[in-house]
Amino acid sequence: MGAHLVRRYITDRDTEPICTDKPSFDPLYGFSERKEREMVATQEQMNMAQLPMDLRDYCAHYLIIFMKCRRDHWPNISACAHQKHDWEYCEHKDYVMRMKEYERERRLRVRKKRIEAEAA
Amino acid sequence: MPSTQFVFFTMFFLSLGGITFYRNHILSVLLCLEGLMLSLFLLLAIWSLETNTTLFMATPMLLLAFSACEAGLGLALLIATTRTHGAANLNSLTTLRW
Amino acid sequence: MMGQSEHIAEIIISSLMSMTLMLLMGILGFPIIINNTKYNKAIFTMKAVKLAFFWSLLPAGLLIITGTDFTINTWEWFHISTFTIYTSVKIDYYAAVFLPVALYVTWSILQFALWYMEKDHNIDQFFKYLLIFLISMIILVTANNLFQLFIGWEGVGIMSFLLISWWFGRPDANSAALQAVLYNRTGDLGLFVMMAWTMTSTNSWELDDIFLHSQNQNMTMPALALILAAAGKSAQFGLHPWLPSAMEGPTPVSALLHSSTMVVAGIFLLIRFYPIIEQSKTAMTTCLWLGSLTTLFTAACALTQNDIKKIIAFSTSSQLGFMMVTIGLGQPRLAFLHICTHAFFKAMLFMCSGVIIHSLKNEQDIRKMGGMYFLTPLTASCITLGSLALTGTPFLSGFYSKDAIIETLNSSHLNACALSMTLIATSFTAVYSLRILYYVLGGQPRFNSLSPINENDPNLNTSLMRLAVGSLIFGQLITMSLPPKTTSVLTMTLTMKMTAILVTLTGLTTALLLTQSDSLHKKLWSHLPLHFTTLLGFFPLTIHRLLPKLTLQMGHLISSQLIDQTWFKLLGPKAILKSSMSLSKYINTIQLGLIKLHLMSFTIALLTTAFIYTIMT
Repeated sequence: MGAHLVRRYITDRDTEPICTDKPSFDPLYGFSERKEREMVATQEQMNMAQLPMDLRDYCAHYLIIFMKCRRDHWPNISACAHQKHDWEYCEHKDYVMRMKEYERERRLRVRKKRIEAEAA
Repeated sequence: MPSTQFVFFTMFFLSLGGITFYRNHILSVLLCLEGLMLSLFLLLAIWSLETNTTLFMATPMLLLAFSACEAGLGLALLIATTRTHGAANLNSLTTLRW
Repeated sequence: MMGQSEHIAEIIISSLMSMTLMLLMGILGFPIIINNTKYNKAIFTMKAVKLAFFWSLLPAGLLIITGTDFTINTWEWFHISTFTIYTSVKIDYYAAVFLPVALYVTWSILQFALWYMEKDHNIDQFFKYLLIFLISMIILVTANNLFQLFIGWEGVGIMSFLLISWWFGRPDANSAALQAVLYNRTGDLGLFVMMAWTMTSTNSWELDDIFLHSQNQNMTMPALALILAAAGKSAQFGLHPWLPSAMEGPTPVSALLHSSTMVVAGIFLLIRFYPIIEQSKTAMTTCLWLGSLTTLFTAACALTQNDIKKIIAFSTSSQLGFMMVTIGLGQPRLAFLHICTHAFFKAMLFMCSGVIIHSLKNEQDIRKMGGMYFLTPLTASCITLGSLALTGTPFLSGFYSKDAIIETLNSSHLNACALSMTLIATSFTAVYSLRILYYVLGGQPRFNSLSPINENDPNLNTSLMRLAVGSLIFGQLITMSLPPKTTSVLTMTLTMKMTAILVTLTGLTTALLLTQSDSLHKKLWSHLPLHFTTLLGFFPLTIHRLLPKLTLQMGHLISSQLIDQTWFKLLGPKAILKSSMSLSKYINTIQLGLIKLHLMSFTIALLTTAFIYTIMT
């Protein structure tokens, strides 16, 4: 996520979350309804496709389609641009969602600090 | 002890003292040595007369003969010392020193 | 299990393959049978490497098409009680892609060396050494166990020594070769520690066994030992002075060993053992810091050197630090990609510098070159292409690895100091590349008029073009052909995405502005002496002179003065001598040697005894 150095070390030293921490607030706090996201590709499909362990995330179904397209169209290595874009767009959405979760965590911490400062 | 013997004993020990506590010249050592011999001669003579032992009546003569040789030897040493060391000074006989 | 027909098919196919191989080698070797000169032997070596390159495309192709990699475990070599050492070859992604790259680059360099070393009387021995080096490198890269890797490791070290001191009449070359051997040996200590650790801890030297049995242990010590080995071989800071000194060797040696192949052996070791290194936070941080320090320091030193080969050597060292930073980031595949792309353009840069050196009658100082743009146009184009690829110009081959690494660097959760040092080094890359281009290609000629400028040899032209083609398209080809192993970072702000290019352009514009300044302009940093970077940070001066002097002085002090003179003389016999001498000197002043005193003492004793006797009784 980048380091956000100025916020981390100078301005907001005690409220800036570290990106390897788990979120500390309730996931449903502030939302009316939110579901945990589900995997589309099953374990058997990923095993059959022999995906590397690092790539078995929530976008694995797009990756399986992309790799199948590459295998079918070999040696034309530029034929699968559409499937590659699908997979990379899914990864991009996943990254943006994680950044939003990080920002939510940060704002909730700032709010908590402000409420505690007002109560004191 | 009888007075003559006392005199000669004193003479003996005085000469002995003269040899040991001498001044620097060798000749004084030889003179004291003569005095030592003289006292011994006289003591021997008196002792053999006192005890009437005829056997020892000739020993003073023996002592006198040896004393004369010894005096000659002493004088030869004096001359030799004078020849090698230039003067007959007892302090210059330093061959025992390192 | 194979049936009868498969056995027969296997025998037929393998015998056909060996027969074709022998036939091909026979056809290639035909000129030697006719005319057994040394030059023909060298040509044979080059053609053999060319053939090997085409053969090595087979496993690489197999990997790209089907994703198959394989391990060949041949036989149990020897046993040491319960410990077995095998011979096993592993052709996985790293080896299968590196082998064609290394063979392609070696083929081009050998063809270039046919032109460069043409007048040398021992050209066949030179090619033999290069070939033995190549074999050692292949052994290192395809090794599946530590023993085989060690054989390759030592082999490349020894051949580096022999090749650097090729012109052994030069004392500089001999001391440079010795420096290379010593620094490599210091790094070998790390490899020994790793071998000992795996022998005692996992009871096997096979890579698979090591990765299997080392899952939940504390891996800091072997990881740091591996980093030491890589620092020695890949010229990281602290063990780096041998690399610029190694430019004493002929240019093909510099191009092959010290830019593409041997110095990446250390980084290759780290990439192979990455599962061990990633388990230790200390080791990852060490990689990051060491790499960024190396890249910044050597890039700064490259800014002020005047020898063209030394600038390119420091550039190599800077890129090696960059690869080490990538490993510290957790991206071994990107580091490997950078190894492969870097091999092409760095070898090409060295070959172009070799052309220029030969053309200007062995002139290596850039202050005495100039105007080569019009005089050797092919070389000028290739050196420009190589420099652009080095700085990471978009869509050349260096871009795919370098830009990906800098993007990953920008969006990682790690310390900013390493990040900023690496970015500054990236801008320095542009500066010293422009320095080379400005001094060598630009301006008016500053060399003698009667220089034998000639780049018309077909050996030279084809080899340069081959590497230029590789620099242009290899990055694109590899990135698009091979499947991804980890998710790359795609989402970042525009500034972060453009950081590498912006930083490079900053360096470029600063350098261009500096070229416009002349003696009438006020110098900005005139009070800062250049000595620090020109003399390589004073590192060789202190380490090579001061430390050995202190050590040898200490040794001399202990052995000669402390032991010989003090313990054995002064406190033994001389002590007895002193004490007894002083006592006897004191007594000698009392003893006068006069008989008078002896007699006096005798007489006094006698008189006293007599006196007491008469008084007492």
